[in-house]
Amino acid sequence: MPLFSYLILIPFVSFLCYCFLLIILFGTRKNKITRYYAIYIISMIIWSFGSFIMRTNTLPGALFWNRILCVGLIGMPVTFYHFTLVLTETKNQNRKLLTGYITGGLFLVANFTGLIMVDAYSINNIFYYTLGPLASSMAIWSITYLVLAFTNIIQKVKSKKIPYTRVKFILVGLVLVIIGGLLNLIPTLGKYPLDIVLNTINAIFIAYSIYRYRFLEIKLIVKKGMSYSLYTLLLTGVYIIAIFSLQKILIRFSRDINMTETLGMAVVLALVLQPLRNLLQKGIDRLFYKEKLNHQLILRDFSRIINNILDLDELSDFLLKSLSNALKPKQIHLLLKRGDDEYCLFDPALEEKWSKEIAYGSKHPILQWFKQKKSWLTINEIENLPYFAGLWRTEKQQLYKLETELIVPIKLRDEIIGLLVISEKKTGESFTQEEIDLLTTLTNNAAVVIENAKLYNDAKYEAITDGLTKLYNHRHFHEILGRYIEENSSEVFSVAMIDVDLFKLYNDLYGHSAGDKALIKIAEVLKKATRKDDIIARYGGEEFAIIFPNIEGEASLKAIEEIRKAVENSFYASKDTNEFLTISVGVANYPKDGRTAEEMIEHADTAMYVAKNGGRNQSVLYSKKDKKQNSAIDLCEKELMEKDIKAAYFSAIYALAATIDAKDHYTYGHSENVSKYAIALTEAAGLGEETVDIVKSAGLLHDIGKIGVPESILTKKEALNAEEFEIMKRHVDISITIIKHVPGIVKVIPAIMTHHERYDGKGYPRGIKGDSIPIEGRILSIVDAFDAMTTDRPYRKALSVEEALQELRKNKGTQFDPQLTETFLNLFEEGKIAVA
Amino acid sequence: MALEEMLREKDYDKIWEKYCGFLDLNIEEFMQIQERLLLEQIELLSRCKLGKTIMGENVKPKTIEEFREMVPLTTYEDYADFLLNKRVDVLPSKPKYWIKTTWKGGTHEIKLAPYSESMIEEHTKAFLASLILATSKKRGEFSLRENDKFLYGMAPLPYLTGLAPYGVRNEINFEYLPSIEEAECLSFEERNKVGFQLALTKGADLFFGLSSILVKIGEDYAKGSTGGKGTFEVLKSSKSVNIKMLYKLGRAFIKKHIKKETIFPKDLWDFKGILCAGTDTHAFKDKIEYYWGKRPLEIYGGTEIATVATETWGDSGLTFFPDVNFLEFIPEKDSLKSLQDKNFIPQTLLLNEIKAGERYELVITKFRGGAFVRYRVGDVIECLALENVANNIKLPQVRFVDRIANIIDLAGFTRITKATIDKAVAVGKLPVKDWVAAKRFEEKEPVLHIYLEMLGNDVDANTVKNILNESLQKSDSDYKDIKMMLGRDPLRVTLLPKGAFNHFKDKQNTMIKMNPSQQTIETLMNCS
Repeated sequence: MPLFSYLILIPFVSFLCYCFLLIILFGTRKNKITRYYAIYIISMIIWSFGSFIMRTNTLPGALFWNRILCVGLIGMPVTFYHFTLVLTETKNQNRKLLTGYITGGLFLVANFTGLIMVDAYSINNIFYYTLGPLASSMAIWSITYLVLAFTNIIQKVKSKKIPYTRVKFILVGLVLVIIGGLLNLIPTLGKYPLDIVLNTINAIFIAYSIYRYRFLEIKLIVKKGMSYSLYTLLLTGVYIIAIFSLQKILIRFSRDINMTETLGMAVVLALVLQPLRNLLQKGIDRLFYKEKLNHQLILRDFSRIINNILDLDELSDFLLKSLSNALKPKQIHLLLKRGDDEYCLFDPALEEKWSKEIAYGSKHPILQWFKQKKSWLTINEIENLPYFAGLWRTEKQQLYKLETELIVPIKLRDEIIGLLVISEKKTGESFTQEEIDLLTTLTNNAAVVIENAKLYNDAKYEAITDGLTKLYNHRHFHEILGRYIEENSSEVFSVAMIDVDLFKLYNDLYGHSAGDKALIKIAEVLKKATRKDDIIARYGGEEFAIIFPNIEGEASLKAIEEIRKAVENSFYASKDTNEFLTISVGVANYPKDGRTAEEMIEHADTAMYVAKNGGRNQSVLYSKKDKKQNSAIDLCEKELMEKDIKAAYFSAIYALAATIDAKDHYTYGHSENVSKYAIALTEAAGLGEETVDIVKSAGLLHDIGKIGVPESILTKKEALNAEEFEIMKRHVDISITIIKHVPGIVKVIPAIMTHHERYDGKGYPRGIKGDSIPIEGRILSIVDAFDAMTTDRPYRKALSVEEALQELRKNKGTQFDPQLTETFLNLFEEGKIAVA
Repeated sequence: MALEEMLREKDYDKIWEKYCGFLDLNIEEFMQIQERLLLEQIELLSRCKLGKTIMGENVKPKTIEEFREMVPLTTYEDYADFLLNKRVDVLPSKPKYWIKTTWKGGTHEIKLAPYSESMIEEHTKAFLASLILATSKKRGEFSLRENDKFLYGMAPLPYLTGLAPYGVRNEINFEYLPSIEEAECLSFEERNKVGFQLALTKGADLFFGLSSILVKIGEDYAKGSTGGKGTFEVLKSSKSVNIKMLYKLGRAFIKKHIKKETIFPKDLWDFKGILCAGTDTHAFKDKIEYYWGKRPLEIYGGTEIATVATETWGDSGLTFFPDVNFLEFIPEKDSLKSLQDKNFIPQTLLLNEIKAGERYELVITKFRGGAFVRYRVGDVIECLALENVANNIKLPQVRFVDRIANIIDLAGFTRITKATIDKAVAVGKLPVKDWVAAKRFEEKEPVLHIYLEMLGNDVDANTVKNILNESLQKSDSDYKDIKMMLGRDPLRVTLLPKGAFNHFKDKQNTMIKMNPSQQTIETLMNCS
């Protein structure tokens, strides 16, 4: 059989391919792209059908079928051009398109009037044709429109409206079509159906692009079925051609072929073609199911490896890498549940693994969406569904920043333990159902292991962290310090010991809850005021410790001084006048001040005590002299020192009392009386000398805050109105603000702070009641009221002693501590005390 | 994806979901959106001076309850210093447009409201939702399309109604009649005239404007004043009448000149959707349907509050958008009490707390970085039902009733306050002892009824009415527009008997001058 006889099969195979593509299109969702692609395919079907029949000498003859071929040939360029305009969403070329259709129409008329093909016939299976006068014009016109289609796509790629990857196969196919068209202009080559071969390749390229880059949503079942049909079709074609050719060859050698021989040939060919079949099968699998094969491998590896990982960082890293590998997104992020109610970004590659850049509470709409058993969420759904209308603008911007395309939950049974935030693919394609399925399988597999790793991680974290301040704990601090020295991690470093001044007093005054809050606040300040590499720990109680790597000498003093100031400023800046906390800090340098962990801590501690003894709120750099000083001060010296302090303390009190005196004579007299009564009551109640000292001073100072109250209110003759009373009440806070700055007398603060509290809790400023009120405060409350009643006031005359005592009796148990009131009443009854 | 692209893709379900999906929310979901966006707004407010001034320094409510407890109710006076001076530095977000409105009865001539980028996005989305609903006969089905011809009969920027085309153009292309650029150079009256003129040659698919204007045009056609040569002269003067309009004009011509029948706008135009705003839209609906063959869809909004609610299908009421404002409601009784007693601080209800059949004054907090916080809009709404069973909307259905009692709004054109009438009385030099004014409806059309007690006996009601009419036109240009554009006389005057006010005050202590109760008016009229 001559070569030309086999050429008949080329348009036939092309015809089958085009029909196959058209059937695929029926299985797709109808939109503009499919519609215009189908029109182009129909042109090609007409072309290939005409070309095939033309070569079979079917009636009415080659010329007729050639003109049918030309119908497809004329239709193809303009329908293809139209298809590319739709594909690239080009709207400004309507005129060219219209011109194309009109000229195409004219060429069709010309075709049937013999202006394009004058004659066509086949002799000895060789196809001959004579071109008409408009044939070359038609060829140029065809190529012009194909070039227009080509340039249009190139422009869109250049202006970055379409990614090159999405159209690269279409462009290559187009080049082939143009080449095929040009070949037609060379009659020696034009007689072979090379153009149709190249056009068929083009159609397959387009089909592949449409499938690969999701121009169409081809149903999976259709894809699979159709791809195998194509494979079967091709294989059958090749098989038939092979048997046919072999038979012809044997006949040429003048041999008659019987049935048995034909069957034998078929079997031999089938065996020979088996490798070809396998090759084709692999080719199709690679073309259509490459990703699926990859996915299976990834899934297998992932399941095998994750069960051996317990470390959360490693596991997350592996999960993210596996998914990146499988789905090839531009970005992928993991949000993990942290604590009971928060999902935060977790990046195993960063030093600071948890980030609040994205933090969702469990009631967040995205979490709620997944709690409704939804399997995934796309950015389009977030943008369009009213359910997500409540998302904050910043939340949406964060998702855009991560180029989010898809969010998938990591679920362990019904609990969401994390979220995967996945961006669009590097290729710009959408995710397929298979990919989402893979994602779900991977996350399901990972869920249990992540949860275990998280529990392990939490346990590890809790073992080294202080529960209250979230700083490292004492044990871990020692571990790190030991490691620093042992591994010689840093040639020089400093250790600071920090003690919160007057913290016990603060706790007594405001309660332990407030004390805890203050410690958390100090921890926050320490974190902010230190460098990233510094190690901060809560050493115990109200003590903190810091390791400053690569810092020594004056630099370490400077570092701790900055911290001290930061703490002071943070409390000083607070609007709450009750917050008066400061810190005393001591720092020692390695290796100058010590070569072991114990030595370093001891020496930093020594320096810290020097700061304490020096009046608190100070930073001290350790020196050997400090150690000597601390140990050398003998008992005698200590006693003398205490005496001096006490003397200074009382002179400070009297100086302050004089300040009140300067403001208002009445107040001064009152303060002295209160002090005197308070001493008597405290002694009668059998309380110790220390309490006597406290109430004595507190009595003198309890109203010192009235310095800050306008005289108009202090001396007002009428009863105070609500606003004035509020101002008057502030004298308690003002008293504390003044006293807290005087060293040595802070012990009186609880008494002063509470002398307007009532036993039934209806007093001010804190409304505490019963025994929660320090006893010194309860004493002051009674004697303060008694003296106020028995002296003249601007707004009323003094009550008699009896009347005043009666008032105390009346309010015993409500305003006043009943037991102490009784003791005070007894003092009068027994004549042990007289009115001042 | 913009609406235009979605239309091209024929993603009608997705379009419906995106723009009108809020109609599928239940009240719990609605309130969740409200709460989340309120918390976002509190966050933004807590970082700016305006927020700190209104909410208080360091006040940052964490829940709706705290917000209602800690933040006071506000009026425009609270913002005037910042907003009228365009203090961008104090705002929660950077404004892209400053929207203007008149401030009748206020300390300044105008009010300004800042609109940030995201507020414009929300406003546009709400406006498009209304537009889609206007072209929809039932859930999920609508006929809005790209390049629809849009007769846009509303005021241009800087008024709120002019903002929509600017936001909408990022979403979809319409052919505006006239074009936005041209419209901005035309007066309100001219724009409507040119728009309808163009609609005669090109046809029109959508209308957005004041319902009163549509009624006026319909009436003009009915009277034959416009439906005559004005309409058909277009055929001579314009070269580009499209085929559809040519057919419609031809048919109308036959109807009018051969069959000798009255032609109505519905004979010329077949609108896909008519969107109407304005306080008295409900009063004009029947007439619009009669003249235009299409029932208008009412939207409710305002300068400070943007698009707040939209009608859906039928006359069952308006549904609030969940993501434009945080909504609170003061019961009408408390609202009135607070107008009389400035020290009375009314409590508010939330959307899930209002009751069917009750009226409320609306209080809003603008979302998305807006300026207004617990702002008393001055509008009264009525809750018609807690859900719309017929259309399967599980959210309260409301009706815009009117401005609060101390403002009389006439057909969306003007707002008459006590100060407006006082000024008119002064300008007209009328010897008036005292007066009260009320809004009334005559044949479903709003009128301003002023009841006056004169000092002398020598003036008759007609003279007083003429003088008042003239002085109102002088002192209020919007009032003048009603006369000019709608050709209506919205004023009614009744002279009260001598001593009516003294007699009334002897009996009762308080006298409400604007919109007093019917009982008060009757007492005034019957005492002598």
